[in-house]
Amino acid sequence: MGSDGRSGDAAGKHIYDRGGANGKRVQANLGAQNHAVVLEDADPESTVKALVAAGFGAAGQRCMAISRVVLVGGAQALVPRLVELARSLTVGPGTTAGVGIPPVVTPQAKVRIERLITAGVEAGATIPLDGRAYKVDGYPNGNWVGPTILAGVTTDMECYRNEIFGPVLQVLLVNTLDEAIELINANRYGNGTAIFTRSGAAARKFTHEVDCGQVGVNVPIPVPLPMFSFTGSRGSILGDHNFYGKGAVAFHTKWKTVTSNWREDDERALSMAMPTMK
Amino acid sequence: MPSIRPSVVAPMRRMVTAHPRSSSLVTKSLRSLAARAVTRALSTAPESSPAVPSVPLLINGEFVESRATAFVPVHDPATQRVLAHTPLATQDEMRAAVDSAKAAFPKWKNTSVSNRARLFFRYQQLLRENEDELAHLITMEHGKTLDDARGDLFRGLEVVEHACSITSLQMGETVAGVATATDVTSFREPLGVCAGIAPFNFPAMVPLWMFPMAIATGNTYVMKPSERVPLTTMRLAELLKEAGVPNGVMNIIHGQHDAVNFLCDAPEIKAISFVGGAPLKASDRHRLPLLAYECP
Repeated sequence: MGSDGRSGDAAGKHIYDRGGANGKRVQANLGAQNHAVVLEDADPESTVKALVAAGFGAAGQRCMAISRVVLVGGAQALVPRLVELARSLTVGPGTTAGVGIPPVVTPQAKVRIERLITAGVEAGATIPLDGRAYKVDGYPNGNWVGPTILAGVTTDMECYRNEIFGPVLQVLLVNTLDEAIELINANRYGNGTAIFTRSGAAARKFTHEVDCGQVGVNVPIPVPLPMFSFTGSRGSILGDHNFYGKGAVAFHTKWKTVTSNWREDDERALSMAMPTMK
Repeated sequence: MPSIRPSVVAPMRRMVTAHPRSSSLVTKSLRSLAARAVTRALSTAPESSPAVPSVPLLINGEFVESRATAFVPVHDPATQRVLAHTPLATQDEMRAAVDSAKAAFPKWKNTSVSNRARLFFRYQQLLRENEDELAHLITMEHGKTLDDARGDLFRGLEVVEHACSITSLQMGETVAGVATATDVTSFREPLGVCAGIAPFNFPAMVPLWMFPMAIATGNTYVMKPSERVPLTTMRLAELLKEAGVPNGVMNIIHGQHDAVNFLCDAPEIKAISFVGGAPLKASDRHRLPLLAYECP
Protein backbone atom coordinates (compact mmCIF):
# COMPACT_ATOMS: atom_id res chain seq x y z
CA MET A 1 0.00 0.00 0.00
CA GLY A 2 1.33 3.38 -0.92
CA SER A 3 1.45 6.28 1.46
CA ASP A 4 -1.97 7.50 0.35
CA GLY A 5 -3.64 4.13 0.79
CA ARG A 6 -5.19 4.22 -2.65
CA SER A 7 -3.79 0.84 -3.63
CA GLY A 8 -6.30 -0.65 -1.19
CA ASP A 9 -8.80 -0.16 -3.98
CA ALA A 10 -6.62 -1.90 -6.56
CA ALA A 11 -8.52 -5.20 -6.47
CA GLY A 12 -11.91 -3.58 -7.01
CA LYS A 13 -10.63 -1.29 -9.73
CA HIS A 14 -8.98 -4.23 -11.48
CA ILE A 15 -12.22 -6.24 -11.43
CA TYR A 16 -14.28 -3.24 -12.53
CA ASP A 17 -11.92 -2.48 -15.41
CA ARG A 18 -11.32 -6.05 -16.56
CA GLY A 19 -14.94 -7.15 -16.17
CA GLY A 20 -16.13 -3.96 -17.86
CA ALA A 21 -13.73 -4.40 -20.75
CA ASN A 22 -15.31 -7.83 -21.25
CA GLY A 23 -18.78 -6.31 -21.39
CA LYS A 24 -19.91 -7.35 -17.94
CA ARG A 25 -21.80 -5.37 -15.36
CA VAL A 26 -19.68 -4.86 -12.25
CA GLN A 27 -20.64 -3.51 -8.85
CA ALA A 28 -17.59 -3.04 -6.61
CA ASN A 29 -17.67 -1.73 -3.06
CA LEU A 30 -14.24 -0.35 -2.24
CA GLY A 31 -12.58 1.44 0.65
CA ALA A 32 -14.00 3.62 3.37
CA GLN A 33 -12.87 6.12 5.97
CA ASN A 34 -15.92 6.89 8.04
CA HIS A 35 -16.15 9.97 10.25
CA ALA A 36 -18.43 10.59 13.21
CA VAL A 37 -19.03 14.24 14.01
CA VAL A 38 -19.80 15.09 17.63
CA LEU A 39 -21.35 18.44 18.52
CA GLU A 40 -21.11 19.95 21.97
CA ASP A 41 -24.79 19.37 22.68
CA ALA A 42 -24.63 15.60 22.11
CA ASP A 43 -25.49 13.36 25.04
CA PRO A 44 -21.99 12.55 26.31
CA GLU A 45 -22.40 9.02 27.65
CA SER A 46 -24.52 7.53 24.87
CA THR A 47 -22.27 9.20 22.28
CA VAL A 48 -19.08 7.81 23.80
CA LYS A 49 -20.62 4.31 23.99
CA ALA A 50 -21.71 4.52 20.37
CA LEU A 51 -18.25 5.65 19.25
CA VAL A 52 -16.45 2.91 21.16
CA ALA A 53 -18.79 0.22 19.81
CA ALA A 54 -18.54 1.46 16.23
CA GLY A 55 -14.80 2.07 16.36
CA PHE A 56 -13.62 -1.06 18.12
CA GLY A 57 -16.31 -3.68 17.37
CA ALA A 58 -14.96 -6.54 15.24
CA ALA A 59 -11.54 -4.98 15.97
CA GLY A 60 -12.42 -2.19 13.54
CA GLN A 61 -12.57 -4.60 10.60
CA ARG A 62 -15.85 -3.35 9.20
CA CYS A 63 -16.14 -1.20 6.11
CA MET A 64 -18.71 0.87 8.02
CA ALA A 65 -16.63 1.13 11.20
CA ILE A 66 -16.21 4.61 12.64
CA SER A 67 -12.46 5.09 12.37
CA ARG A 68 -12.41 8.87 12.74
CA VAL A 69 -14.10 11.07 15.33
CA VAL A 70 -14.41 14.75 14.53
CA LEU A 71 -15.02 16.67 17.74
CA VAL A 72 -16.51 20.11 17.22
CA GLY A 73 -15.57 22.86 19.70
CA GLY A 74 -16.40 21.95 23.28
CA ALA A 75 -17.04 18.30 22.37
CA GLN A 76 -13.32 17.70 22.79
CA ALA A 77 -14.06 17.38 26.49
CA LEU A 78 -15.22 13.83 25.65
CA VAL A 79 -11.70 12.52 25.00
CA PRO A 80 -10.89 11.39 28.57
CA ARG A 81 -14.15 9.40 28.83
CA LEU A 82 -13.58 7.93 25.37
CA VAL A 83 -10.14 6.74 26.45
CA GLU A 84 -11.47 5.39 29.74
CA LEU A 85 -14.23 3.35 28.11
CA ALA A 86 -12.00 2.03 25.33
CA ARG A 87 -9.38 1.00 27.89
CA SER A 88 -11.99 -1.05 29.73
CA LEU A 89 -12.65 -3.31 26.72
CA THR A 90 -11.48 -6.91 26.98
CA VAL A 91 -9.25 -8.22 24.21
CA GLY A 92 -9.36 -11.95 23.56
CA PRO A 93 -10.69 -14.84 21.50
CA GLY A 94 -14.15 -14.41 20.02
CA THR A 95 -15.39 -17.53 21.77
CA THR A 96 -14.80 -16.10 25.24
CA ALA A 97 -17.79 -14.41 26.85
CA GLY A 98 -17.28 -10.73 27.63
CA VAL A 99 -14.62 -10.14 24.98
CA GLY A 100 -15.09 -6.83 23.17
CA ILE A 101 -12.12 -6.85 20.81
CA PRO A 102 -11.26 -10.06 18.94
CA PRO A 103 -7.98 -10.73 17.12
CA VAL A 104 -7.35 -9.09 13.76
CA VAL A 105 -7.45 -11.36 10.77
CA THR A 106 -3.80 -12.15 10.06
CA PRO A 107 -0.33 -11.55 11.51
CA GLN A 108 0.28 -9.34 8.45
CA ALA A 109 -2.75 -7.21 9.31
CA LYS A 110 -1.40 -6.75 12.85
CA VAL A 111 1.97 -5.62 11.51
CA ARG A 112 0.33 -3.16 9.16
CA ILE A 113 -2.00 -1.72 11.81
CA GLU A 114 0.86 -1.22 14.26
CA ARG A 115 3.01 0.39 11.58
CA LEU A 116 0.29 2.94 10.79
CA ILE A 117 -0.21 3.70 14.50
CA THR A 118 3.53 4.33 14.80
CA ALA A 119 3.43 6.54 11.71
CA GLY A 120 0.73 8.61 13.39
CA VAL A 121 2.78 9.07 16.55
CA GLU A 122 5.86 9.96 14.54
CA ALA A 123 3.84 12.55 12.62
CA GLY A 124 2.84 14.29 15.84
CA ALA A 125 -0.39 12.60 16.97
CA THR A 126 -0.70 11.86 20.67
CA ILE A 127 -1.56 8.37 21.80
CA PRO A 128 -3.60 8.42 25.02
CA LEU A 129 -4.34 4.70 24.55
CA ASP A 130 -1.75 2.47 22.91
CA GLY A 131 -2.69 -1.07 21.89
CA ARG A 132 0.56 -1.98 20.15
CA ALA A 133 2.42 -5.12 21.30
CA TYR A 134 -0.68 -6.28 23.13
CA LYS A 135 -0.55 -9.64 24.93
CA VAL A 136 -3.42 -11.95 25.84
CA ASP A 137 -2.77 -14.57 28.50
CA GLY A 138 -2.98 -18.11 27.18
CA TYR A 139 -2.95 -17.04 23.53
CA PRO A 140 0.64 -16.20 22.69
CA ASN A 141 0.12 -16.60 18.93
CA GLY A 142 -3.06 -14.55 18.44
CA ASN A 143 -3.14 -11.49 16.21
CA TRP A 144 -3.79 -9.08 19.06
CA VAL A 145 -4.03 -5.34 18.75
CA GLY A 146 -5.39 -3.57 21.79
CA PRO A 147 -7.75 -0.58 21.63
CA THR A 148 -5.83 2.45 20.43
CA ILE A 149 -6.74 6.13 20.31
CA LEU A 150 -4.73 8.61 18.29
CA ALA A 151 -5.56 12.23 19.15
CA GLY A 152 -4.58 15.47 17.49
CA VAL A 153 -4.69 13.76 14.11
CA THR A 154 -4.59 15.96 11.02
CA THR A 155 -5.64 15.09 7.50
CA ASP A 156 -2.10 15.16 6.13
CA MET A 157 -0.93 12.30 8.36
CA GLU A 158 -0.32 8.85 6.85
CA CYS A 159 -2.52 7.27 9.53
CA TYR A 160 -5.42 9.49 8.41
CA ARG A 161 -4.90 8.97 4.70
CA ASN A 162 -4.99 5.19 5.08
CA GLU A 163 -7.77 2.87 6.09
CA ILE A 164 -6.16 1.24 9.13
CA PHE A 165 -8.85 -1.47 9.42
CA GLY A 166 -8.00 -2.20 13.03
CA PRO A 167 -9.10 -1.20 16.55
CA VAL A 168 -7.84 2.35 16.18
CA LEU A 169 -9.91 5.49 16.66
CA GLN A 170 -8.43 8.71 15.28
CA VAL A 171 -9.59 11.96 16.89
CA LEU A 172 -9.61 15.24 14.94
CA LEU A 173 -10.63 18.63 16.33
CA VAL A 174 -12.45 21.40 14.44
CA ASN A 175 -14.20 24.59 15.51
CA THR A 176 -17.47 24.48 13.59
CA LEU A 177 -19.91 22.09 11.94
CA ASP A 178 -19.09 23.69 8.59
CA GLU A 179 -15.43 22.78 9.07
CA ALA A 180 -16.41 19.21 9.94
CA ILE A 181 -18.51 18.89 6.79
CA GLU A 182 -15.72 20.36 4.69
CA LEU A 183 -13.23 17.88 6.16
CA ILE A 184 -15.48 14.89 5.44
CA ASN A 185 -16.30 16.04 1.93
CA ALA A 186 -12.60 16.45 1.18
CA ASN A 187 -12.01 12.76 1.97
CA ARG A 188 -12.10 10.69 -1.19
CA TYR A 189 -14.42 8.05 0.26
CA GLY A 190 -18.16 8.37 0.79
CA ASN A 191 -19.23 5.13 2.42
CA GLY A 192 -20.76 6.41 5.62
CA THR A 193 -20.77 9.10 8.28
CA ALA A 194 -22.66 10.02 11.42
CA ILE A 195 -23.48 13.04 13.54
CA PHE A 196 -24.19 13.09 17.26
CA THR A 197 -26.27 16.05 18.39
CA ARG A 198 -29.54 17.04 20.03
CA SER A 199 -30.10 19.81 17.49
CA GLY A 200 -32.52 18.97 14.71
CA ALA A 201 -31.37 21.95 12.70
CA ALA A 202 -27.70 20.92 12.90
CA ALA A 203 -28.56 17.33 12.04
CA ARG A 204 -30.62 18.42 9.06
CA LYS A 205 -27.88 20.71 7.80
CA PHE A 206 -25.37 17.87 8.13
CA THR A 207 -27.50 15.26 6.38
CA HIS A 208 -28.11 17.57 3.44
CA GLU A 209 -24.60 18.99 3.02
CA VAL A 210 -22.39 16.00 3.75
CA ASP A 211 -21.39 14.02 0.64
CA CYS A 212 -21.53 10.43 1.90
CA GLY A 213 -24.04 7.82 0.79
CA GLN A 214 -25.04 6.54 4.24
CA VAL A 215 -25.64 9.02 7.04
CA GLY A 216 -26.50 8.32 10.67
CA VAL A 217 -28.08 10.80 13.05
CA ASN A 218 -27.21 9.57 16.53
CA VAL A 219 -26.67 6.20 14.80
CA PRO A 220 -23.02 5.24 14.46
CA ILE A 221 -23.16 2.53 11.75
CA PRO A 222 -26.03 3.48 9.45
CA VAL A 223 -26.09 0.39 7.23
CA PRO A 224 -29.53 0.35 5.58
CA LEU A 225 -31.86 -2.64 5.77
CA PRO A 226 -32.64 -4.41 2.48
CA MET A 227 -35.84 -2.49 1.75
CA PHE A 228 -33.17 0.10 0.90
CA SER A 229 -29.74 -0.64 -0.57
CA PHE A 230 -26.16 -0.28 0.66
CA THR A 231 -25.54 3.17 -0.73
CA GLY A 232 -21.94 4.11 -0.13
CA SER A 233 -20.94 6.75 -2.66
CA ARG A 234 -18.00 8.60 -4.27
CA GLY A 235 -14.73 6.66 -3.92
CA SER A 236 -16.37 3.83 -2.00
CA ILE A 237 -18.11 2.30 -5.02
CA LEU A 238 -17.47 1.59 -8.68
CA GLY A 239 -20.53 0.76 -10.75
CA ASP A 240 -24.02 2.09 -11.16
CA HIS A 241 -26.08 -0.21 -8.98
CA ASN A 242 -26.00 -0.70 -5.22
CA PHE A 243 -25.88 -3.95 -3.31
CA TYR A 244 -29.10 -5.63 -2.11
CA GLY A 245 -32.57 -4.12 -2.05
CA LYS A 246 -34.04 -2.61 -5.19
CA GLY A 247 -30.52 -1.91 -6.44
CA ALA A 248 -29.85 -5.65 -6.52
CA VAL A 249 -32.94 -6.26 -8.64
CA ALA A 250 -31.81 -3.61 -11.11
CA PHE A 251 -28.26 -4.97 -11.18
CA HIS A 252 -29.28 -8.58 -11.78
CA THR A 253 -31.95 -7.99 -14.40
CA LYS A 254 -32.24 -6.41 -17.82
CA TRP A 255 -35.33 -4.74 -19.18
CA LYS A 256 -37.30 -6.19 -22.03
CA THR A 257 -40.02 -3.88 -23.30
CA VAL A 258 -42.74 -5.37 -25.49
CA THR A 259 -44.98 -3.23 -27.71
CA SER A 260 -48.07 -5.06 -28.97
CA ASN A 261 -50.66 -4.00 -31.53
CA TRP A 262 -53.94 -5.90 -31.61
CA ARG A 263 -56.25 -3.95 -33.90
CA GLU A 264 -59.64 -5.42 -34.57
CA ASP A 265 -59.44 -4.04 -38.15
CA ASP A 266 -56.17 -4.53 -40.03
CA GLU A 267 -54.17 -1.38 -40.87
CA ARG A 268 -53.25 -1.56 -44.56
CA ALA A 269 -51.75 1.85 -45.37
CA LEU A 270 -48.05 1.90 -46.33
CA SER A 271 -45.94 4.45 -44.43
CA MET A 272 -42.20 4.84 -44.91
CA ALA A 273 -41.81 7.38 -42.12
CA MET A 274 -40.11 6.53 -38.82
CA PRO A 275 -42.82 4.77 -36.80
CA THR A 276 -44.40 6.93 -34.14
CA MET A 277 -47.14 5.99 -31.74
CA LYS A 278 -50.42 7.62 -32.73
CA MET B 1 -34.70 -29.79 -11.52
CA PRO B 2 -32.59 -28.56 -14.42
CA SER B 3 -31.12 -31.07 -16.79
CA ILE B 4 -27.60 -32.02 -15.89
CA ARG B 5 -25.14 -32.13 -18.72
CA PRO B 6 -23.19 -35.36 -18.39
CA SER B 7 -20.22 -33.69 -20.01
CA VAL B 8 -19.96 -31.34 -17.06
CA VAL B 9 -20.43 -33.84 -14.29
CA ALA B 10 -18.49 -36.79 -15.64
CA PRO B 11 -15.10 -35.09 -15.86
CA MET B 12 -15.55 -33.79 -12.33
CA ARG B 13 -16.35 -37.27 -11.04
CA ARG B 14 -13.29 -38.62 -12.82
CA MET B 15 -11.15 -35.88 -11.39
CA VAL B 16 -12.41 -36.53 -7.91
CA THR B 17 -12.06 -40.28 -7.97
CA ALA B 18 -8.59 -39.95 -9.44
CA HIS B 19 -7.52 -37.87 -6.49
CA PRO B 20 -6.02 -39.80 -3.59
CA ARG B 21 -7.61 -37.74 -0.85
CA SER B 22 -11.05 -37.73 -2.38
CA SER B 23 -12.42 -40.99 -1.00
CA SER B 24 -12.95 -39.75 2.52
CA LEU B 25 -13.73 -36.10 1.92
CA VAL B 26 -15.96 -36.10 -1.08
CA THR B 27 -18.36 -38.56 0.44
CA LYS B 28 -18.65 -36.58 3.64
CA SER B 29 -21.05 -33.75 3.93
CA LEU B 30 -19.95 -30.20 4.52
CA ARG B 31 -21.59 -30.45 7.88
CA SER B 32 -18.90 -32.86 8.91
CA LEU B 33 -16.24 -30.62 7.42
CA ALA B 34 -17.56 -27.68 9.36
CA ALA B 35 -17.91 -29.69 12.53
CA ARG B 36 -14.39 -31.02 12.25
CA ALA B 37 -13.05 -27.53 11.68
CA VAL B 38 -14.73 -26.31 14.84
CA THR B 39 -13.61 -29.34 16.82
CA ARG B 40 -10.05 -28.85 15.62
CA ALA B 41 -10.04 -25.22 16.63
CA LEU B 42 -11.36 -25.99 20.07
CA SER B 43 -9.17 -28.99 20.74
CA THR B 44 -5.73 -28.82 22.22
CA ALA B 45 -4.34 -31.49 19.92
CA PRO B 46 -1.07 -30.67 18.22
CA GLU B 47 -1.24 -29.42 14.67
CA SER B 48 0.33 -32.56 13.35
CA SER B 49 -2.84 -34.48 14.21
CA PRO B 50 -4.79 -36.00 11.34
CA ALA B 51 -5.56 -34.51 8.00
CA VAL B 52 -6.58 -30.90 7.92
CA PRO B 53 -9.45 -30.90 5.42
CA SER B 54 -9.36 -29.31 2.02
CA VAL B 55 -12.35 -27.05 1.41
CA PRO B 56 -14.53 -28.55 -1.35
CA LEU B 57 -15.80 -26.85 -4.45
CA LEU B 58 -19.51 -26.87 -5.31
CA ILE B 59 -20.06 -27.78 -8.93
CA ASN B 60 -23.42 -28.77 -10.37
CA GLY B 61 -24.86 -29.58 -6.98
CA GLU B 62 -21.99 -31.72 -5.78
CA PHE B 63 -19.36 -30.91 -3.20
CA VAL B 64 -16.13 -32.10 -4.77
CA GLU B 65 -12.53 -31.96 -3.70
CA SER B 66 -10.27 -29.80 -5.83
CA ARG B 67 -7.29 -31.27 -7.64
CA ALA B 68 -5.43 -28.06 -6.84
CA THR B 69 -1.73 -28.21 -6.14
CA ALA B 70 -1.64 -24.90 -4.25
CA PHE B 71 -3.59 -24.09 -1.10
CA VAL B 72 -4.11 -21.22 1.33
CA PRO B 73 -4.41 -22.13 5.00
CA VAL B 74 -7.46 -21.04 6.98
CA HIS B 75 -6.21 -20.01 10.42
CA ASP B 76 -7.96 -19.38 13.68
CA PRO B 77 -6.66 -15.82 14.28
CA ALA B 78 -6.59 -16.32 18.05
CA THR B 79 -4.23 -19.30 17.91
CA GLN B 80 -2.90 -19.71 14.33
CA ARG B 81 -4.26 -23.25 14.38
CA VAL B 82 -4.91 -24.38 10.80
CA LEU B 83 -8.61 -25.21 10.39
CA ALA B 84 -8.66 -26.12 6.71
CA HIS B 85 -6.86 -25.56 3.44
CA THR B 86 -8.50 -23.52 0.69
CA PRO B 87 -7.55 -24.88 -2.74
CA LEU B 88 -6.69 -22.57 -5.60
CA ALA B 89 -9.07 -24.22 -8.04
CA THR B 90 -7.74 -25.37 -11.41
CA GLN B 91 -8.86 -23.76 -14.67
CA ASP B 92 -10.77 -26.96 -15.54
CA GLU B 93 -12.65 -26.84 -12.26
CA MET B 94 -13.57 -23.17 -12.67
CA ARG B 95 -14.66 -23.89 -16.24
CA ALA B 96 -16.83 -26.78 -14.99
CA ALA B 97 -18.47 -24.46 -12.45
CA VAL B 98 -19.35 -21.89 -15.11
CA ASP B 99 -20.55 -24.60 -17.53
CA SER B 100 -22.76 -25.97 -14.79
CA ALA B 101 -24.24 -22.52 -14.08
CA LYS B 102 -24.81 -21.90 -17.78
CA ALA B 103 -26.52 -25.25 -18.25
CA ALA B 104 -28.81 -24.65 -15.29
CA PHE B 105 -29.87 -21.15 -16.39
CA PRO B 106 -32.65 -21.81 -18.95
CA LYS B 107 -34.67 -23.98 -16.61
CA TRP B 108 -34.11 -21.78 -13.57
CA LYS B 109 -35.02 -18.64 -15.50
CA ASN B 110 -38.32 -20.28 -16.43
CA THR B 111 -39.04 -21.54 -12.92
CA SER B 112 -42.02 -19.57 -11.70
CA VAL B 113 -41.22 -16.51 -9.64
CA SER B 114 -43.38 -17.93 -6.84
CA ASN B 115 -41.29 -21.08 -6.71
CA ARG B 116 -38.09 -19.06 -6.76
CA ALA B 117 -39.44 -17.09 -3.78
CA ARG B 118 -40.35 -20.34 -1.97
CA LEU B 119 -36.73 -21.48 -2.15
CA PHE B 120 -35.81 -18.45 -0.06
CA PHE B 121 -38.70 -18.94 2.39
CA ARG B 122 -37.22 -22.38 3.10
CA TYR B 123 -33.69 -20.97 3.16
CA GLN B 124 -34.39 -18.25 5.73
CA GLN B 125 -35.87 -20.86 8.05
CA LEU B 126 -32.78 -23.09 7.70
CA LEU B 127 -30.47 -20.15 8.40
CA ARG B 128 -32.39 -19.45 11.60
CA GLU B 129 -32.33 -23.09 12.67
CA ASN B 130 -28.57 -23.28 12.13
CA GLU B 131 -27.69 -19.91 13.60
CA ASP B 132 -25.48 -21.27 16.39
CA GLU B 133 -23.41 -23.49 14.14
CA LEU B 134 -22.96 -20.73 11.58
CA ALA B 135 -21.97 -18.22 14.25
CA HIS B 136 -19.36 -20.61 15.62
CA LEU B 137 -17.97 -21.18 12.13
CA ILE B 138 -17.70 -17.41 11.61
CA THR B 139 -15.91 -16.97 14.92
CA MET B 140 -13.56 -19.87 14.24
CA GLU B 141 -12.35 -18.75 10.88
CA HIS B 142 -12.68 -14.97 11.19
CA GLY B 143 -12.07 -14.40 14.89
CA LYS B 144 -14.93 -12.02 15.68
CA THR B 145 -16.93 -12.53 18.87
CA LEU B 146 -19.89 -14.90 18.85
CA ASP B 147 -22.38 -12.06 19.43
CA ASP B 148 -20.86 -10.17 16.54
CA ALA B 149 -20.92 -13.32 14.41
CA ARG B 150 -24.66 -13.67 15.06
CA GLY B 151 -25.07 -10.08 13.86
CA ASP B 152 -23.00 -10.88 10.76
CA LEU B 153 -25.40 -13.72 9.94
CA PHE B 154 -28.51 -11.73 10.86
CA ARG B 155 -27.70 -8.86 8.50
CA GLY B 156 -27.37 -11.44 5.73
CA LEU B 157 -30.56 -13.18 6.80
CA GLU B 158 -32.41 -9.89 6.31
CA VAL B 159 -31.40 -9.93 2.65
CA VAL B 160 -32.70 -13.49 2.32
CA GLU B 161 -35.99 -12.39 3.89
CA HIS B 162 -36.18 -9.59 1.35
CA ALA B 163 -35.50 -12.07 -1.47
CA CYS B 164 -38.74 -13.78 -0.41
CA SER B 165 -40.52 -10.68 -1.80
CA ILE B 166 -39.13 -11.22 -5.27
CA THR B 167 -42.64 -11.77 -6.64
CA SER B 168 -43.30 -8.07 -6.08
CA LEU B 169 -39.77 -6.75 -6.45
CA GLN B 170 -39.29 -8.07 -9.97
CA MET B 171 -42.51 -6.60 -11.38
CA GLY B 172 -42.24 -4.77 -14.65
CA GLU B 173 -44.28 -1.86 -15.94
CA THR B 174 -47.22 -1.51 -18.31
CA VAL B 175 -48.79 1.35 -20.20
CA ALA B 176 -52.05 0.50 -21.91
CA GLY B 177 -53.03 2.33 -25.07
CA VAL B 178 -49.82 4.08 -26.11
CA ALA B 179 -51.37 4.16 -29.59
CA THR B 180 -54.41 2.72 -31.26
CA ALA B 181 -54.83 -0.83 -29.97
CA THR B 182 -51.23 -0.76 -28.77
CA ASP B 183 -49.96 -1.60 -25.27
CA VAL B 184 -46.44 -1.63 -23.86
CA THR B 185 -45.28 -4.03 -21.16
CA SER B 186 -41.80 -4.36 -19.74
CA PHE B 187 -40.23 -7.34 -18.04
CA ARG B 188 -37.20 -7.56 -15.76
CA GLU B 189 -35.36 -10.57 -17.14
CA PRO B 190 -32.41 -12.29 -15.46
CA LEU B 191 -28.99 -11.85 -17.06
CA GLY B 192 -27.66 -15.42 -17.05
CA VAL B 193 -24.65 -16.49 -15.01
CA CYS B 194 -23.59 -14.00 -12.33
CA ALA B 195 -20.58 -14.13 -10.01
CA GLY B 196 -19.66 -12.88 -6.57
CA ILE B 197 -16.25 -12.23 -5.01
CA ALA B 198 -16.42 -11.79 -1.25
CA PRO B 199 -14.05 -10.32 1.35
CA PHE B 200 -12.88 -11.82 4.65
CA ASN B 201 -14.53 -9.47 7.09
CA PHE B 202 -18.17 -10.62 6.89
CA PRO B 203 -18.08 -14.37 6.18
CA ALA B 204 -21.89 -14.64 6.11
CA MET B 205 -23.31 -11.18 5.46
CA VAL B 206 -21.51 -10.24 2.27
CA PRO B 207 -22.00 -13.57 0.43
CA LEU B 208 -25.66 -13.26 1.47
CA TRP B 209 -25.73 -9.77 -0.06
CA MET B 210 -24.78 -11.43 -3.33
CA PHE B 211 -26.17 -14.83 -4.32
CA PRO B 212 -29.71 -14.74 -2.84
CA MET B 213 -30.91 -11.72 -4.83
CA ALA B 214 -29.11 -12.92 -7.97
CA ILE B 215 -30.71 -16.37 -7.76
CA ALA B 216 -34.13 -15.01 -6.71
CA THR B 217 -34.22 -12.88 -9.86
CA GLY B 218 -33.64 -16.01 -11.97
CA ASN B 219 -29.89 -15.99 -12.51
CA THR B 220 -27.48 -18.82 -11.78
CA TYR B 221 -24.36 -18.18 -9.75
CA VAL B 222 -20.66 -18.79 -9.26
CA MET B 223 -19.47 -17.64 -5.84
CA LYS B 224 -15.84 -17.14 -4.85
CA PRO B 225 -15.71 -16.74 -1.07
CA SER B 226 -12.71 -15.19 0.62
CA GLU B 227 -9.94 -17.77 0.67
CA ARG B 228 -9.37 -16.70 4.29
CA VAL B 229 -12.92 -17.53 5.46
CA PRO B 230 -14.47 -20.08 3.06
CA LEU B 231 -16.04 -22.45 5.60
CA THR B 232 -19.05 -20.26 6.41
CA THR B 233 -19.90 -19.91 2.72
CA MET B 234 -19.69 -23.68 2.26
CA ARG B 235 -22.20 -24.21 5.04
CA LEU B 236 -24.43 -21.46 3.62
CA ALA B 237 -24.35 -23.29 0.29
CA GLU B 238 -25.07 -26.63 1.88
CA LEU B 239 -28.16 -25.14 3.52
CA LEU B 240 -29.23 -23.63 0.19
CA LYS B 241 -28.98 -27.11 -1.27
CA GLU B 242 -31.05 -28.45 1.62
CA ALA B 243 -33.62 -25.74 0.84
CA GLY B 244 -33.91 -27.25 -2.62
CA VAL B 245 -31.81 -25.14 -4.97
CA PRO B 246 -31.52 -27.08 -8.24
CA ASN B 247 -28.14 -28.45 -9.27
CA GLY B 248 -25.99 -25.91 -11.08
CA VAL B 249 -27.91 -22.85 -9.89
CA MET B 250 -25.35 -22.24 -7.11
CA ASN B 251 -21.66 -23.07 -7.63
CA ILE B 252 -18.56 -22.28 -5.58
CA ILE B 253 -14.96 -21.96 -6.66
CA HIS B 254 -11.94 -21.04 -4.55
CA GLY B 255 -8.83 -19.11 -5.39
CA GLN B 256 -7.09 -15.78 -5.61
CA HIS B 257 -5.80 -13.78 -8.58
CA ASP B 258 -6.34 -16.50 -11.17
CA ALA B 259 -9.88 -17.15 -9.98
CA VAL B 260 -10.70 -13.43 -10.03
CA ASN B 261 -9.32 -13.07 -13.53
CA PHE B 262 -11.18 -16.17 -14.67
CA LEU B 263 -14.48 -14.67 -13.47
CA CYS B 264 -13.66 -11.34 -15.14
CA ASP B 265 -12.94 -13.08 -18.45
CA ALA B 266 -15.43 -15.99 -18.71
CA PRO B 267 -17.83 -14.90 -21.46
CA GLU B 268 -20.81 -16.68 -19.89
CA ILE B 269 -20.62 -14.47 -16.80
CA LYS B 270 -22.74 -11.36 -17.27
CA ALA B 271 -22.32 -9.57 -13.95
CA ILE B 272 -19.83 -9.51 -11.09
CA SER B 273 -20.38 -8.32 -7.54
CA PHE B 274 -17.28 -7.49 -5.53
CA VAL B 275 -16.75 -6.17 -2.03
CA GLY B 276 -13.29 -5.57 -0.73
CA GLY B 277 -9.84 -4.30 -1.17
CA ALA B 278 -6.35 -5.44 -0.53
CA PRO B 279 -4.94 -3.25 2.19
CA LEU B 280 -1.51 -4.79 2.21
CA LYS B 281 1.80 -3.10 1.60
CA ALA B 282 3.66 -4.28 -1.43
CA SER B 283 6.41 -5.29 0.97
CA ASP B 284 3.95 -7.45 2.90
CA ARG B 285 3.04 -9.48 -0.11
CA HIS B 286 6.12 -11.60 -0.25
CA ARG B 287 5.32 -12.85 3.23
CA LEU B 288 1.93 -14.15 2.14
CA PRO B 289 1.43 -17.19 -0.05
CA LEU B 290 -0.70 -14.94 -2.23
CA LEU B 291 -2.62 -11.75 -1.82
CA ALA B 292 -5.73 -12.03 0.31
CA TYR B 293 -8.72 -10.04 -0.81
CA GLU B 294 -10.09 -8.14 2.11
CA CYS B 295 -12.90 -5.75 2.66
CA PRO B 296 -11.38 -2.40 3.48
